[in-house]
Amino acid sequence: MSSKQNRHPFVVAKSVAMKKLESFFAERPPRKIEMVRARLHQLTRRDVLLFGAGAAAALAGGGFLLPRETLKRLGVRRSMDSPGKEWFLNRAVRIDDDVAEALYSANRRVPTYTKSQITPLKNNYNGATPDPGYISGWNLTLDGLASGLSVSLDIRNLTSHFSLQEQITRLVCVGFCVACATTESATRLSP
Amino acid sequence: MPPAKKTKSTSTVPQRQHVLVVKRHHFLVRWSHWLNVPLLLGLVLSGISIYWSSPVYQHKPDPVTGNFDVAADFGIWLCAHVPGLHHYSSPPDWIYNHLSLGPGMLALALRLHWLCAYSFMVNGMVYVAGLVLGGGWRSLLPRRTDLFDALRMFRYYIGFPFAKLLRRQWRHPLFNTKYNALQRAAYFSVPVAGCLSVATGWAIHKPMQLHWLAAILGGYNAARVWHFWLLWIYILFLAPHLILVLADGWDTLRSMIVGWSTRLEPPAVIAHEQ
Repeated sequence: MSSKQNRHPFVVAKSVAMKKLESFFAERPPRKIEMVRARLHQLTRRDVLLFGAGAAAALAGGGFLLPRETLKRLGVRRSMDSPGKEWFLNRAVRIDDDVAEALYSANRRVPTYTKSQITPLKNNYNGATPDPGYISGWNLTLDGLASGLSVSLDIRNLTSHFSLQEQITRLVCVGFCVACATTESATRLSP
Repeated sequence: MPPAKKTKSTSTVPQRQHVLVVKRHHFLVRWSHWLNVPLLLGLVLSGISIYWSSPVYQHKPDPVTGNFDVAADFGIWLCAHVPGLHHYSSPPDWIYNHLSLGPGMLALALRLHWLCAYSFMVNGMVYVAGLVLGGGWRSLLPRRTDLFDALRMFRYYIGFPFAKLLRRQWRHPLFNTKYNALQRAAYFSVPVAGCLSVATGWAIHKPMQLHWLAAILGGYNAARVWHFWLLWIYILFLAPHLILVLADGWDTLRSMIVGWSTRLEPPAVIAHEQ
C-alpha cells in the first residue's frame, strides 16, 4: 500500500487537495435543532410581527415617496407632498453627487473624438459648433443646485481667468430633449 | 438548550414540549429577500417612467399622431381592441399609466430610481453577507448534474397538473439537497442578474466616467437594452417563484419569514416515503 503511494505521490496529493476543495464547496446536511415548543412559538411570533411591521413600513414608505398622480390611480388620495419627501429624495441625489465626484479624476479622461466623428444634429449647429467668440455675451445662471447656491457664469469672465482648451467628447442626455441623445461636441475650460 | 419551561399548555404529553426544526435561512438573507420586494417595485416603476422620456425601442414618427414609441403603440392598440378601454382618455400613455409612475415624471423618477438603486446595492451586500454567515451559499452553487436534473424537474412541474387531473401517480424526482436543480439554477441566476443590472445601470448612469464599462457591454445603447431586458428576467423568475412557493405550502413561505422549517429531510425523500 505504502509502496503504491510512493510510486504516485502527486496523484495522491492532488486527490486529497481536490477532496478538501470539494468538501469545502459541498452542501452541508441540514442541522436539526431541538427547540422548546414555547420558545419556538415566541421566536416565531416575534419574526411574524417584525415582518408585519416591515410590510406596513414599506406601504407607508410607498405612500410617502410615490407621486400624487400615481397614488391617485391606485385610489389613494393625498392632498399634499410633505417637505420631508423632497429632503429625503434630495439626500439620495447628494449621495449620487458624491459618487460622481469620487469618479472624477485628472488621470481618468473620458474618450475624445475628432471633428469628423461628430454626428451633425440640429442642436450642435449640424456638427459645426462655433468658438466662444460667437456667443460673446453668453451668461449662464445655475439655479436649483443641490448646495442651494445660485452660480452665475459669464463667458468673458471665464475666458479671462482660464485658458481655452477644446475637447470633443460624447454627451449622453437622458430625457428632456429626446432628440439630442447621442453625440455632440463640447468645449471644456481648464485653468 | 434551556430546560423545558412549565407552560400553561392544555397538552400534558411530555414529548410534545419539544419540537425538531432545521435552520433554513439566515436572518440577513430573509430581511434582504423581503426588502427586495419594495425596492424592485420602486426600480421597475421609476425605470419605466425614465424609459418614457427616451425610449430605446422607437420607429419613425407616425405621420398622423407623431408617435414614435413602441410602448405607446401597444397602448393605442390595447385601447382600440379591448372592450372596456375604448374611452380611455390617453391611449398612448396606457402602458406608462399602469406599469410606471406615469408619463412626464422624469425628474422624480430619476431621484426615486437612484434612491432605490443605492438601497438595492446595499441590500445585495447584506444578502451576500447572510449567505456567507449562514453558509447558505453552498446550496446555491451549480453542480455538474444540474442540467439533466433541471430537465427532470421541469418535466415534473409541467406534467403535475395533468397527472392531478387524470388522478395518476406522479413521482417527484429524488434529490438530497436543500434545493432541486431547477430551484438552484433560479436562485443562483437571480443574484447574477442583480449584479448585471447594477453593472448595466452604472454603465448608463455614468457613461463618461465609466466608459470602459459601457464599452464592455457593447456601448451606451446596448447597455440600455441589456438593462431593460434584465427586467424581464426578474418577471420571468417571479411568476413561477410565486406559484411554486404558494403551491409548496405554508412551510416554505414561513421559513423565509421565521428562518426555520419543520421539514427535516429534503421534500422528495418525504414524498417518496409516504
